[in-house]
Amino acid sequence: MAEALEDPRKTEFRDQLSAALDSAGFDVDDARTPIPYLAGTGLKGPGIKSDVLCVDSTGKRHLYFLRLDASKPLPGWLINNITASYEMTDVEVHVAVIDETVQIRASCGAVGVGLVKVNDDNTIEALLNYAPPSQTSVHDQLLTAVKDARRRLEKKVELNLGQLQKRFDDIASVTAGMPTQMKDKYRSGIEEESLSWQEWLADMSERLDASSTTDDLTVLENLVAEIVAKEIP
Amino acid sequence: MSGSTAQMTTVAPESITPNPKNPRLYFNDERLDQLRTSLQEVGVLVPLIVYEDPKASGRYVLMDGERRWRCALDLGFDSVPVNIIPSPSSVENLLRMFNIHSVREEWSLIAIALSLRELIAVTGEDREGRLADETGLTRSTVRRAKRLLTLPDSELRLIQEEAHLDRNEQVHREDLYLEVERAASVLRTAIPEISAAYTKPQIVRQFVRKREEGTLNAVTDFREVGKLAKAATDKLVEEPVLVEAAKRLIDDVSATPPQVYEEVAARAVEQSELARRVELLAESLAGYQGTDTLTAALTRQLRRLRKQIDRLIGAKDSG
Repeated sequence: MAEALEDPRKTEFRDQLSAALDSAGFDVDDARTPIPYLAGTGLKGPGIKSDVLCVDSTGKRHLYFLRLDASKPLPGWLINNITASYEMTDVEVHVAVIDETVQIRASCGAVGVGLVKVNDDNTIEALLNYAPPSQTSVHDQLLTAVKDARRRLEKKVELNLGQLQKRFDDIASVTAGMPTQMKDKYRSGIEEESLSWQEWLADMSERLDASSTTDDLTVLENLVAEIVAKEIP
Repeated sequence: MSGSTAQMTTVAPESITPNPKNPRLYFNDERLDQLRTSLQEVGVLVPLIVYEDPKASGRYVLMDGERRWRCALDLGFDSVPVNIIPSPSSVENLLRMFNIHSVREEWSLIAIALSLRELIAVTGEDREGRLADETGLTRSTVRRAKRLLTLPDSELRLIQEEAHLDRNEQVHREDLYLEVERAASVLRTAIPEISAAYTKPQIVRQFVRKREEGTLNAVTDFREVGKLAKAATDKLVEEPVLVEAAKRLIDDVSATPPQVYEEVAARAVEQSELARRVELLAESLAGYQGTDTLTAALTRQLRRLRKQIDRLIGAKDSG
């Protein structure tokens, strides 16, 4: 059931990485029990649940997160987990990819997460070591600001989708008596507008993710301005 | 829905099963990132909608909230808020799918088609207008979905298995199959020998192979098949030539529709179109017969045309 609806590429990648780690002498934990968050993270859920979890001979736990598309920035939820891991003992977090890109390297380097590449022959190449940054206060400030911006973004989109849903629910009464073609056009219009908002949400979310791996608050400020300025049609 | 009213509670995500009536197979993993972040930071604010699994005590079937459910599993949530509703009837279950996937959760055409097929099987209603009214879909979406349903299950499965991928990663795209379906239909209708020699599924498979093996430039290349079929209907090309060309198009994976059309029919079609324009020109000129009010510009053009015609026809006549 855990893999129900899961992207089969991820399932396959998970199997490949697990096999590679097993061959390398790690003890792979198939249960992937979440590592409990320490108090004060503010995150929902019991803890960090990785895609692959293994333990080395010293008892240190290695948490791996699989990224199928290495051209995208690390997402917010993963950065939150990486940040939460800084205070944990005997825990290291790594991102695993099939293809290395400049973007993934920069993104991982900025937050101090390890980066590994899994090759076709099931060997693992370590590209970056897990190295939590020494100064976390600026990073924490930035992450808080990103979270606030994300809430504003979600609220705006939710407001609009809610209005669109109401319009959709009223279609029968609004379009009663209209010719079929006009009815369809009205309906398609609502669907297209909804899609447009969801695509904007995905795009802005990705840009917020990218902004949280820089130290430049200006980037974030500009994104917030864009969110505020987005007009409701 | 009949029975007792809804009940709000929390349950373990592992106790929930995807709805068997939802034809979605997979989620694109990274398209869920935004939702994962939101759930991790604020939690599941909108309860999932489930009903008790009549076949398994203590388990629930998901009605609404697949993405939230998948993300909750990924994040390791112990529990999620749910609204337990009475078990729906088969038809209610299906119709609810369409309602849920109208505004907030986009559904691929293949998912729509497969759900529509179930609905048609259960209700017996397959009229485009009625289906559109019942499901909230536009008529053109119903029409396109029904066209997909004329394809073999093996082809539908190929589309379904790639539905979660980004468009540029998909080989078996819905728009490819819509073009192929139309091409196969018009070819069989226009050339009876082709209809006798090949079933529609056979032609579809062969055409899709062109995409699988990288022969095509664009899925819209199959529109040239329509032009080939029209050349047959208009008898612009000799039938044996067309039959041969159509067979080559079907049997040879490296033969493309633009190529075959160009080789066999393009010239004839172009000349047919030209003949029509000449006819129109002749009709227009007939109006000036017996007058001497031609402008100098028109007279000049007509003299040039006459010379061109003499060269063309003269060559033909002496040949």
